[in-house]
Amino acid sequence: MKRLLLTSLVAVLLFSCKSYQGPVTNKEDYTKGTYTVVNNYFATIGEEHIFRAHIQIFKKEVSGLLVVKRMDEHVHRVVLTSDFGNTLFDFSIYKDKPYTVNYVMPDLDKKLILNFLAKDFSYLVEDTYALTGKATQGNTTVYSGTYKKKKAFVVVNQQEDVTTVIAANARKPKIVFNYATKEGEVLEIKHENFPLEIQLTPLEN
Amino acid sequence: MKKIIFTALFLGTTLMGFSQEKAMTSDEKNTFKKEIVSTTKDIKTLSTDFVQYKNMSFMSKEIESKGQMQLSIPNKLLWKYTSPFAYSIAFADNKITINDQGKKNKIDVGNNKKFAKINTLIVGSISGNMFDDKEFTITYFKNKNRRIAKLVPLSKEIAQYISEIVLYFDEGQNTVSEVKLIEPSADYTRIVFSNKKINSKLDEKAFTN
Repeated sequence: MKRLLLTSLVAVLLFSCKSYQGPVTNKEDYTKGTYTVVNNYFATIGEEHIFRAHIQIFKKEVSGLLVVKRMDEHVHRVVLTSDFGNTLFDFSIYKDKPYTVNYVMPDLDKKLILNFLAKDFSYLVEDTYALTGKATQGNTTVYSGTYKKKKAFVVVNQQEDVTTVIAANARKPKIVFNYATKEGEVLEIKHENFPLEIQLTPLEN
Repeated sequence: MKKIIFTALFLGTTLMGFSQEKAMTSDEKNTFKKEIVSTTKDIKTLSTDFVQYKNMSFMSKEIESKGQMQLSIPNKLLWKYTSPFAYSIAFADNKITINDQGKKNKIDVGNNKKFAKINTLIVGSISGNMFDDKEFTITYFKNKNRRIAKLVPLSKEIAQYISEIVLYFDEGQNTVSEVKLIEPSADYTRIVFSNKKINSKLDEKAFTN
């Protein structure tokens, strides 16, 4: 019995000590190098994206319209309105400096929530990742490295579209971003260790 | 304080170039109120189509949604969006029900508090109650073909959400034709009503999703 306990303990320790490698199993599968990965989804200056948004935070759900527009080289505007049109939050997300809040509805004006949302959107709209590992996984290529002081994995399909971005700590994924690459697909942001999930269905305007 | 708000509003509107808008005289104001109250006191139900335009200064065009609204006095209200997606929200007997593309829900935290206010206003404006509202400074204007009531919230709490509500009444009509909700950032939402039907029989079941 003692031995069994000990074995399981060692197994658990070994398993949990294994560092997280994204969708790829072994660290050794990555070829080291300098890789620049471009995500074109929100990269075009002036292009206006409108989504039907569902945000689940704790047990609450907020729905509305999310508007994303790259204003210039350095800044994206990200705005959520309710279905009735009123603005719930309005962020400017900068490439190289902290986000600013242009407006936030008093009910949502909580630093913790704003920081979480702004961080998610800064990943979502990022167009260039400088990464240090590359591996092939089925039909996809997985790049690994560091982004915003976190482990990052970027999955690219055969058409060179970014399909998934994973922000992780040493052992676990923290936030998973799934991009829509085909018509009718939904963008998703999912936190693995915090009850926050965002689904974005593209709308034609 | 009222004077300052009024002056600021007056200057603001003048400077912004709405020069065709003229303040109503007190006689015109009284007639306007009287007409609205007398027309609307007989309203039991109202149904109308609407188009909603969200205007954001950084966007090249307005975001458009469409649908139908139904109202049953005193307190049942249904907003049903048909485009760009199916979504409806019903207020009845102090309950809010939502149908979001088939997914049903009882409460929506982002919407209902403020929306209850808007509803009070819409219900109020067609039932003739809004002019007694203690919550707003109301000014009255007219232009070539419309009568206009501008409501500025007195409470600081409401002013954090909405800086001004403008109700437009088309010529010959004593119910609201258009509502404009101006936010503190100056972005705004316009809701334009058309194909209005008064006192037609409504399906009461429509008020629960």
